Amino acid sequence: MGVTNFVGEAWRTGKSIATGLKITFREMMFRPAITVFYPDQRDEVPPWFRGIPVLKTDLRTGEYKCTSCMQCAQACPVNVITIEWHQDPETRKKVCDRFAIDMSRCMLCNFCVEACPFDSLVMGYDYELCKVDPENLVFEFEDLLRLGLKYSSAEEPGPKAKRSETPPWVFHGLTNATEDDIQDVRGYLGRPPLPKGYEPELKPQFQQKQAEDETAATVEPEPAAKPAAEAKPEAEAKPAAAPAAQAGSTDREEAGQP
Amino acid sequence: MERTQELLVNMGPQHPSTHGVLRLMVKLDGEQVTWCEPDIGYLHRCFEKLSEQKTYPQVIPFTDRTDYLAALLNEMCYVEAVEKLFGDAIVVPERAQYIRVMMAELQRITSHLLALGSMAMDLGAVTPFLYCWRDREKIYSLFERITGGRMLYNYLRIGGVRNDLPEGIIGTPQDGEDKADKTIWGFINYFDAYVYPQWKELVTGNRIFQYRTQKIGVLTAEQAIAYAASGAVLRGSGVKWDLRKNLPYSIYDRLEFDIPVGKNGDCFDRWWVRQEEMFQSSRIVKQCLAWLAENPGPVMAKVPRVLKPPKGEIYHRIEGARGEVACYVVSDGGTNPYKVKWRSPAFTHLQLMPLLCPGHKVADIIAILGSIDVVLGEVDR
Repeated sequence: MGVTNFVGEAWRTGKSIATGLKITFREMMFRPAITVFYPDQRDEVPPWFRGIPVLKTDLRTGEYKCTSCMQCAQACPVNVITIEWHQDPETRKKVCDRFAIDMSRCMLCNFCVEACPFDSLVMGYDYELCKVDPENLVFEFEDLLRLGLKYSSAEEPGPKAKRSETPPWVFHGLTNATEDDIQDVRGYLGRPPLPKGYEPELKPQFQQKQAEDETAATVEPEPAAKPAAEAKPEAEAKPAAAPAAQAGSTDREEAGQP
Repeated sequence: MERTQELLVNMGPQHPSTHGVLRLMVKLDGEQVTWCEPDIGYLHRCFEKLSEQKTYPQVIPFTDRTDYLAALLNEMCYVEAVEKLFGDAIVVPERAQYIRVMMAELQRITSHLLALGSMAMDLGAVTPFLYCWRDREKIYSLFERITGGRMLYNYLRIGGVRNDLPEGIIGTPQDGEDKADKTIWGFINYFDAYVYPQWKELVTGNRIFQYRTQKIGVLTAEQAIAYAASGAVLRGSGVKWDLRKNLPYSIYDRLEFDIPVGKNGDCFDRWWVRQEEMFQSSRIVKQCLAWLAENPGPVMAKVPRVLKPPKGEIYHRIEGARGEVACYVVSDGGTNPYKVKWRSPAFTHLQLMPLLCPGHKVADIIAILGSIDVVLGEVDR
């Protein structure tokens, strides 16, 4: 290696080191920082995010939407969905005894949601599923319903809507419903049955006939009675739920009077 | 010549530079490597046998997990193979094909970014690795918005794609860096204006990096063909062979792009080919975006609910991120594939290690391993 060659190489090496330092300095000083300090800050979850699959509830009736048709269990590539059911001798309907998803093996592939013909399953936004004991990763029916309340909405009474062209699982809107939004929970969520005549307030996003009853609401001095009055006409459409709703509204009015 | 005793050294399986759980048995004569043998199988997950018990759509999420750094390309290979098996019964809509190609090329950029970044980090340049990770995250946020998953997408379906692109994801050609993780145009502009020149300046132009990679692990064109190399390894050796050009599948015959070819077949050429391929991928994505913005339409063909391809067998190959990904599917007319055989380029390329390593120093093993870019999930399947 000649002297000129050596000098040239040294110059080129020094120049590339300087270039690297220049770029690093530019990144450090003049470029936006992208770090997200995770437990305190969180990235926004996109609407199609695939977290844990959860079960939806119909908030108007408090019934779970699952009909134990086993479509999701068949579609699952890793067989993590366990469904046990029996037939109700009176109504001849399937009653779900156990619906469990083993999240230690689930690979979040969305096939169960696509297979569901009743729009009952949805991939939730929850992604922090760490458990100390791996046995706790088996999510039972109650857990899935509880997690799924956030995506549940009050369904229109009447015949079940057909599966639309744009599938419902594509955009699962967050309604942020809680257990208090359910009209009549029949102990599915593992809490004691609600007192007779209990009539919770519907949150504004579930109130569908608000405009009609606005005049009634202004006459009524107590605002708590407003959703009860609203729930009446829909409850009449469902004969099973009608007596409870009516009883609830009368109780509330009596209680409000004195 | 007086010689000392040869020393057998284990590299891995938990060595940080082995890109997964790879064990390299290396015989050393001083600092010189005299023999090198990879030991694989730590990540074996029975993908091929498992597929025989699944229905045709159920195999798609498993193909994601073979090469988890380029999941969409694997899906594309399997899905197109099954569509070929159906013959004319399934006609994939044009828009779905454009979406597939666009996503595949974006996936190629992520895969090459990681390959380059991890190779640079193994050679001691830690900073470029962080930049590569940052830019790769931007594509992953885009993918998350399109498909719902960050790494394992399960997005392609037999007969199309699962869903159309969400509104506003394409963006406009004027989008800049501030929208790099919001719109695809934003990322592509950011990539052309910033990422690609920065890589050239920071790593490729670095004289120290060139010393570490040039004339290391030279693979001649004859050897590359004899060892069934493909992808960047083959093109780095000077063979102009790219399935997207030579045997066009999907809609690649309508797109304009060049094939970068190396000269010497050393680690630096393989690096250079990957870097230039990223730029060509961004060109392809631009053409796809221009088409997608103007042509709305269905993204899913009409397929029966239960897929039963006719009896037959098919061998389909595509240009994956690491090389030629190929899939051999045999159908016996039932709902499950009779046999799925996967040709993974990383497995084929790993056999180059005993050929390339002897004669080099220990530190050069890292450069060679990084330049042939193996993903152990794909090697073991």
